[in-house]
Amino acid sequence: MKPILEASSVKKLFKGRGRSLDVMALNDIDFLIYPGEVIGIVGESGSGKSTLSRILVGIEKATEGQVLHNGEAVESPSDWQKLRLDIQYIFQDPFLSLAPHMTVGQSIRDGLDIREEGTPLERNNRVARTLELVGLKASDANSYPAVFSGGQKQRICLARALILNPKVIICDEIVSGLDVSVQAQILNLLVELNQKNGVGLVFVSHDLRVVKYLCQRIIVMHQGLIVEANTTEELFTNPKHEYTQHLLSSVPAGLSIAGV
Amino acid sequence: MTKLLSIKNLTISLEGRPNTSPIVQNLNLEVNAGEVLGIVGESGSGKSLTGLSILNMLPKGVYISGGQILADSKDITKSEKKNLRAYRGELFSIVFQDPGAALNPSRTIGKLLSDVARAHEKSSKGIIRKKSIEILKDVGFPNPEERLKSFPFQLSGGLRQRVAIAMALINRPKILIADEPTTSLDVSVQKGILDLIRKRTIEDGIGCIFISHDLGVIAEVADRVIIMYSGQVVEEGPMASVLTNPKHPYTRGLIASAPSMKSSLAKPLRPIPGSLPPVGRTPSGCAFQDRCPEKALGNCNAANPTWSNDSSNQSHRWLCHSEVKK
Repeated sequence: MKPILEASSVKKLFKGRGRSLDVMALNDIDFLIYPGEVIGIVGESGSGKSTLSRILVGIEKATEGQVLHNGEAVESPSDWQKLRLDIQYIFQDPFLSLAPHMTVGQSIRDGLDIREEGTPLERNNRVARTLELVGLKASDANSYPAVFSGGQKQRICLARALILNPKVIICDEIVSGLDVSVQAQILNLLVELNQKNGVGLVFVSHDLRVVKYLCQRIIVMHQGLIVEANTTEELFTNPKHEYTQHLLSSVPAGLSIAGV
Repeated sequence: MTKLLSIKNLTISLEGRPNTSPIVQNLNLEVNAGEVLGIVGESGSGKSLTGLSILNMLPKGVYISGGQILADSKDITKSEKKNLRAYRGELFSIVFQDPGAALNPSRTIGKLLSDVARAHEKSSKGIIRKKSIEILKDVGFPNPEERLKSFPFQLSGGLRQRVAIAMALINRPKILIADEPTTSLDVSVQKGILDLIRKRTIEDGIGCIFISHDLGVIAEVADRVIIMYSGQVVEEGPMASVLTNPKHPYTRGLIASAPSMKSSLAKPLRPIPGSLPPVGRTPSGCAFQDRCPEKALGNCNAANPTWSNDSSNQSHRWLCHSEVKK
């Protein structure tokens, strides 16, 4: 199988201004994503996990190195446009990532409108189907984001990402702001989308418990480097790198005695 | 065990909104010396307001509409504004979630600590400096003598939170309220802060109220736990007993939906359907009735669900209608 998305020797340097120093946020990262797999990126704040995921969709430009889509280097703006048909991105804060003056339906339809796919009626039908796919009602398309809760807004963001039938969705800390009981709803929805619809996921998170639950493969980042990459099973039972061991030993383990 | 704080029937309501339900209803709790009491709840459960009410620091728009907060043989809800300074810091202290926002960016660590110390005692600079260094050592701050001149922005998040804890403890309060003190920190730093709070609680013989949305964190740090949902306490008891033998459907749901190091797709998470009721719109009767998977068992919208006790452990109790029916 060919990787759908690839980062090849990616470096990212944030230039310091005034007295602040230059920061090498990513130092020579190689990273492959195959269709349909669920990959976790874990690491503490400042490790470069968000920078890497942003570079993969072109929100941030790499200082050196390349992003490859279906094996070809992504360079021109039209290359990036093509990439975003396959790769979608969801942000951490659902309150900030939906336009408050657009109805939910308009926000979700936007991608289709820009590409002028199908008749307006067909577009609306697709919006309705996608809303139902993420567990909302078709009639929710007429409401504004303000009337929805955090969990529901994150479902809307998911619908907006799904409408173009992407092969991979990059999720940057998308459940971190949600309550535990709602977080589990979104996690199970992601599992379902992956298993039934074959959508691949790149799941960026600082919460190892969530990543362990969801992902098949995990990369651990520390200070701009990938320090360990392995299958979830192997990584959790047999962590090789010192930093991974430290990270695993810090996870609150109190819940493991719980009797449910 | 010395009882340091007891809250009786505390009710907190929205000001000028008579048609809304109270945002904290009839809350009872006790804190003893040398123990950590955990309060777990999701957003809007009233856990943070409970913590703030103890310090008389409720934000504008909400007020204590009933009940008592008893500490140091006084009812704090009745104390006058001018007396507040005497007990904030000396009797109670609080550590907030975001140490970046809690520390004055224009003051050095040394000045931050001496500000707090001098609000309560008139001592020479030398004595206060000594005290500051001592407390920084207590909270595991490396090279405190050299770092007194550092500004908050020069420290990492974990060290900033240690400074905030040192500020809270410098006047040797009887009770420390920690409101999500590790939520904005990385896991690897979180563990150090949790260990520190436990250590200080036991060594200094203070009482600690640890507030968090993360049951896994509370399980690490607390001796006893209170589970809150939409302004009501739904279950309370010794940590181990509540975890191994959860009684209230909400507690069970919370545990089943929280990922742990043991979770995997082979044993899927079981989310609680629906979402939390908006603030001020807690249903009458049981607060959890709209989302409860066991609703059919009880008379859930009847007023005042009753407390049931665990037969093997009387301090473990929960608030549910269905138990009455059985």
